[in-house]
Amino acid sequence: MPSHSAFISAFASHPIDVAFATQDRDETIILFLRKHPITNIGWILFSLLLTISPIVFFPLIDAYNLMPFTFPESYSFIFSLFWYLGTFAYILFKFVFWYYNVNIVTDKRIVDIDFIYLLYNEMTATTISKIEDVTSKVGGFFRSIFDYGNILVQTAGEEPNIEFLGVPHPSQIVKIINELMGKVNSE
Amino acid sequence: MEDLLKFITSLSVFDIVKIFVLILLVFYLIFAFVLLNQINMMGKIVKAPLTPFLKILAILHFLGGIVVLILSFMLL
Repeated sequence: MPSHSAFISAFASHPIDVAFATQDRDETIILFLRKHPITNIGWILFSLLLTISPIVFFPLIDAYNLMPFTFPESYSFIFSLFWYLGTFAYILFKFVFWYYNVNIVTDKRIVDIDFIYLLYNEMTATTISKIEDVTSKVGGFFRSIFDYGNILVQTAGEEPNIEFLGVPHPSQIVKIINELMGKVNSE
Repeated sequence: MEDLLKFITSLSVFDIVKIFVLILLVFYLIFAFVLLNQINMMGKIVKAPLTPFLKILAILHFLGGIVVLILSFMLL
C-alpha cells in the first residue's frame, strides 16, 4: 500500500512523517486517522461569524445607538484587538484538538489518543490479538455523502473497547483491521 | 475606609471598564499560557509535522496577549 503524509490528512496509510509517544522501535503505523474534515464545518462557520462581527455588527450597534453610552476610540481599539485575539485563540484551540485527537492502527495494536479538556489526555490501546470484533456505523445524510462514520473495536476480557469517531472511509478501515487480525491470528 | 469609599465613588464608568478589562486580560494571559503548554504536551504525545508551526502560533498568541495588556495599560 502506498504511503501518505499525515501532514493535515484525516486518513493516512503507512504515514512516514508521524509517530506517537509510546511507539516501539519496531512498530509500524499502518493507519493514522483523524475525524473527517467536514466535522469541522461548525466551528469554521462560527469563526467566520466571529471574524466579520466587528465589521458588520458593531457599526450597526453604533448606528442604532444600542449602547447606553459611547466608548472613546481607544476603548473600541482595545476591544477590537481583544476580540480578534480571542477569535484567533478559538480557531487555534479547535484546530489543535482536531489535529491531535487521533486514532492509530499499527502492525501490533490499535491506539486511541483523546485530548478532552485543556491539559487532560486519555490514551487507550489494545493489541491486535485481543480484538474480537470490528464494526463500522455510517448513518445519516452527511455521513453517507462524505463517507465517514464510527468504528467500534471490541476486545476480549478486561481490555477496553476502542471507538473511532467520525473517521473517513470506515469500511476500508474495518477491512484493514480485519486483515491485520487475520495475519496476527495465523502467526 | 473613608479613603477607599472616596476612591470608589470617584471612579467613572470608564475606570470600572478599564479595571475589568485589565483583570480579564490577566486571566486571558493565563489561558494563553495554558494553551501553549497544551500544544507542547500534544506535540510530545503525537509527533506530527505541523507541531513546530502550531507552537509558533501559540507563542505569537501569548505575545499578542501581552501586547494587548500593555496597550490597555497605556491607552485606556
